[in-house]
Amino acid sequence: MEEWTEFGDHLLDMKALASLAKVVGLQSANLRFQSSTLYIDPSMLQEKLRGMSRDQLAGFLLLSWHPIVEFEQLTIPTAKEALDYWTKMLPFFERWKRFQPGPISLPVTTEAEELHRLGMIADKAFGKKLDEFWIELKEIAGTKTKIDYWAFVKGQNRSETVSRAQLASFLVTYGYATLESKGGELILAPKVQPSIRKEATPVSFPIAIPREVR
Amino acid sequence: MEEVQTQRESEQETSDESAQSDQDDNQPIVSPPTQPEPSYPSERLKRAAHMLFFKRGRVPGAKAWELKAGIGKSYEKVLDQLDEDLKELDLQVKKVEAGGIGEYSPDDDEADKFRYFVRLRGTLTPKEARMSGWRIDNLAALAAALSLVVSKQGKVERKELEIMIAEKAGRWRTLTLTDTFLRTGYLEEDETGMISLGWRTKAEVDLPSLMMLVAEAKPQDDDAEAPATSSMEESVPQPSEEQSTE
Repeated sequence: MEEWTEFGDHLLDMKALASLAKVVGLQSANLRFQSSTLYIDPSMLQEKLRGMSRDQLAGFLLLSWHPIVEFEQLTIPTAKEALDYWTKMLPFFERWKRFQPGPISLPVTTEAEELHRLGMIADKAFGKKLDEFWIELKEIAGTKTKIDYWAFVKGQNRSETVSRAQLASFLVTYGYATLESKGGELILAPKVQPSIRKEATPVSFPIAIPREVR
Repeated sequence: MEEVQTQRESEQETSDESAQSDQDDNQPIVSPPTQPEPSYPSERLKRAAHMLFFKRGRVPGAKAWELKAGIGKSYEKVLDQLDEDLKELDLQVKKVEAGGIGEYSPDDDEADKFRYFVRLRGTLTPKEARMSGWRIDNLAALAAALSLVVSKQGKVERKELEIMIAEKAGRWRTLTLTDTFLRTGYLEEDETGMISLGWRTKAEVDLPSLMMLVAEAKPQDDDAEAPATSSMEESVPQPSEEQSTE
C-alpha cells in the first residue's frame, strides 16, 4: 500500500475490489437462482448438510413449513359400525373358549423356604454370613492360626464348595484373613481383627476349583 | 340433505335477488346505482370449510370434483373468499396438483387433477412445533431428507437417504423415522426402493425457500451447540410474520 503513491494505483485497487465483490454477488445470485429452481449440486448440498447442526436444519424446515390443518371426526356411520361391533361381541370368557386353553391354574403364594431352596433369596444377610464364616475359620484354624485353603473351603457338594470359596474370597478382600501360597499350597490365616493394608496394591488372585474338589 | 341445502340456497338466492330488486325499485332515481360486491352465500362458505377441514379419507382436504359437486361450478370463487376469510386466522387454502397423491389418472378432467387443503399461512415457532409432538431431531432429519431428495432431482435410493438421516437422528432411529415420513406422506417409495417427495411435502413445504436457506447456511458444528431443546429458541431466526399446532 505504501508503494501506491499514484492516484491511478488506488483506482486500480478499488476496481479490483469492486470486481471481486461483483463475482461474489453473481455467485450468490446464481446460488439463489439454483435454489429457486430446485437445482443444487448434490455433493455440495451433502457437504452442507453434514456441517449443519440439528437446530439449524430444524429451524430452516420450520421457516418453510406450513402444516395442513385437518380435523378427524367420528361420523354417524362409523359410530353405528362401532356400536354394532360392540353389541355383537361375545363376552370375554366366551371368546376365550375358542382358544381351548384348558384348565387355568390359579396363582398361589410362595413360602420363603421355597424361595431359599430355589436360591432366589438369601437366608441371611451377607454381612452376618461373613461374620459367621470368619468365626468358623478362626475355630477350625485354632491355635495354629492357619489352615489349608482347600481343607476349609471344601463342602458337602460342589455348590457348597463354590459358595464357601466365594465367602473366603470376601474374607481375604475385606481383611478378615490372609491368603498365602507356599510351595503350591494355599494357606488361609484368620486375623484377630479385620484390617486392610491401605498402602498395599490390591491384587486379584484367581483360584480355579478343580474337578476332584466336589 | 344435499338437495335440501341446495334448495334452501336457491331460495336464499332468489330471496336475495328479489330483495335486491325491491330495494332497487324503492331507491330514488337520483342516487347512483350501487355495485354489489361479489359475495357468496355463507352456506356455501361453510360447506367448503367443512369439506376442507374435516378429514374423510386417508388424505385430508378435498378433490376438485368433490368441491364442484358440493359447492357448485363456482367453487373456485368460493374458495377464494374462504381463503380471504381465513387470513385473519393465519390459515390459507392451498391448491396442490394431485399427481403423486396416487389418486389422479390422466383420463380425469383437467381441473380435477387438483386437490385443495387448508394449511397454515405462516410458520410454526420451534416451541409450537415441539408442542404439537415434533422433536427437533425429527424436524432436522426431515429437512435433511427433503433437501437430499430435491438435490438428487426428485429421486434417491433409500440406503443413501438413510445414511443422511442417520447422521442427524442417529442410526437406531433412522428406520423408524424413514417409515414415519413415508407413512405420513412426506416421502414416497416406489417398487424399486427409490424415494421421492410425497404429497404432503408438496402441500406443506415451500421447497425453494428451504433449499435457499440450506444453500446459504453457514455450517455450524453439532458438537459446538448447546442441547437441542434449549438452544432452538435462541438460535433459530424468527419468521417475519409472528405465528401463533404426533
